[in-house]
Amino acid sequence: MWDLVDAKKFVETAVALAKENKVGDDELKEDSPLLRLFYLFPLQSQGVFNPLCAFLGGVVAQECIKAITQKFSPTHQLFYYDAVEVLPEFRVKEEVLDLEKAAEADKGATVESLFKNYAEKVAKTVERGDRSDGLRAVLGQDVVDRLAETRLFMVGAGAIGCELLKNYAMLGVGCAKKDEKAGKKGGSIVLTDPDVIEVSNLNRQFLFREKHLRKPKSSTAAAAAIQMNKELKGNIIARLEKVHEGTNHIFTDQFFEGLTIVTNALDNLAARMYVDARCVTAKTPLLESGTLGPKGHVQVILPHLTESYGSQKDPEDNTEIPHCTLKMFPEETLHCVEWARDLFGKHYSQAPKSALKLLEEGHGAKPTSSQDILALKEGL
Amino acid sequence: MHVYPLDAKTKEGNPFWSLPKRPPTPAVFDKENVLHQQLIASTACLSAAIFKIKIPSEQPRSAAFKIELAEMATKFKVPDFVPSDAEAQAIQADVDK
Repeated sequence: MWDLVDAKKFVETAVALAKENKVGDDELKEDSPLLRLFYLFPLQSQGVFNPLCAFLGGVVAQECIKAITQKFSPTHQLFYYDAVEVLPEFRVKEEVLDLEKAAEADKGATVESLFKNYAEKVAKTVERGDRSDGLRAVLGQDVVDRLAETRLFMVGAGAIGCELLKNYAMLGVGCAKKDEKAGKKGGSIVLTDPDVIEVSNLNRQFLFREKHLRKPKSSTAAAAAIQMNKELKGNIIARLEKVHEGTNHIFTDQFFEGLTIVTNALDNLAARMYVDARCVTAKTPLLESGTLGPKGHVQVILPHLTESYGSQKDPEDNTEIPHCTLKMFPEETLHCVEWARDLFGKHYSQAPKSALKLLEEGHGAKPTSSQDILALKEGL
Repeated sequence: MHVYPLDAKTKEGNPFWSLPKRPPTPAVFDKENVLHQQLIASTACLSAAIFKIKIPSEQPRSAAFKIELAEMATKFKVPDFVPSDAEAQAIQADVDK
């Protein structure tokens, strides 16, 4: 890992291959993005990046299900996916090539002094024999520390909540312990969900098993996360309160302001809007996501940088059938069903109700308005 | 069908009854048709239950009772259709929307 000698061999081969395949010299220049990737690939090839593993696992599982059920077309083409944007900064020119030139020119310079820049990078990625080695190899110690010191609030512990919490546990989010002497606040994960586990949840909310039925989602999920990553013990708080107007004495502004990030794993629009509004007030970043059948959405909301969740509004559902289609020109089976339902309601619900009302109002009282008489007639 | 007969034309001169509009055709009551029997029997029994009228049968769901009810229904005289200008105008206004 982060072995420059090996990396240089790899880069030589890669550049030769690229030239054979008529990649222009421009794209292989010393500060080109392609050359940067050529270096980064061998340097961190032994890394493990949990979110990418989770994503690939999902794709592979889907292909397996297709193969077993013989339903839906398998992916038969090239499948390309990259997340180049998460890779650390690596300037080939400054960090490798310039230093090499300097070493050649200055016979007295030591390797250590010349490769200081690079050595710093290596130090941040060197193995420590802990669970974060894989992540460290890819993103370096800085990111590992930042993740551990994150104070995260997850709203909801359902399908998305299980997935997120598993990823947080694997990445070591919120694992840093409080250290007052060093002035470190430490990390934490707070999750809340008022629901209990139902049978219908078990197929997709994978932190829950049959033995957990009727138990609270939040504490069960928290226990499962601790099982995955022991360092979370003492750093994870499971609550049962719904996040809404009535609980702002628990989830105070101060609480929201003290967070690094809020992640939504909610199942309804009202709660999303509410959490969004609280995050806007507290200037806390929000990761919003949702699923509906095979569809899904995700939105990253950063204060002062992006719009908030509430800035966009879905167009109103316009599935209402026009009155005249329903009454006179039904086109689809649905229209006929709707028409019949309407008629049924009129005959067996509305009419008897108005008849009953007239009866209750007493035998003496004579129906006066023409509307009452009409209702009575229809009712009878 | 009174306001818009089969050969009615729209303002643009096209036939009024063109897809997706389809002209309705009246269903003639047939006491031998099981579906018709079912409609009559269900409607009658539902209404009876709502108005707490005793259903004169031990087995209101039996086929025999349904046939009996359908037989009764043939004796019912449906009032003749009287075209009303007010209604015709209401329908026209509705369609024009």
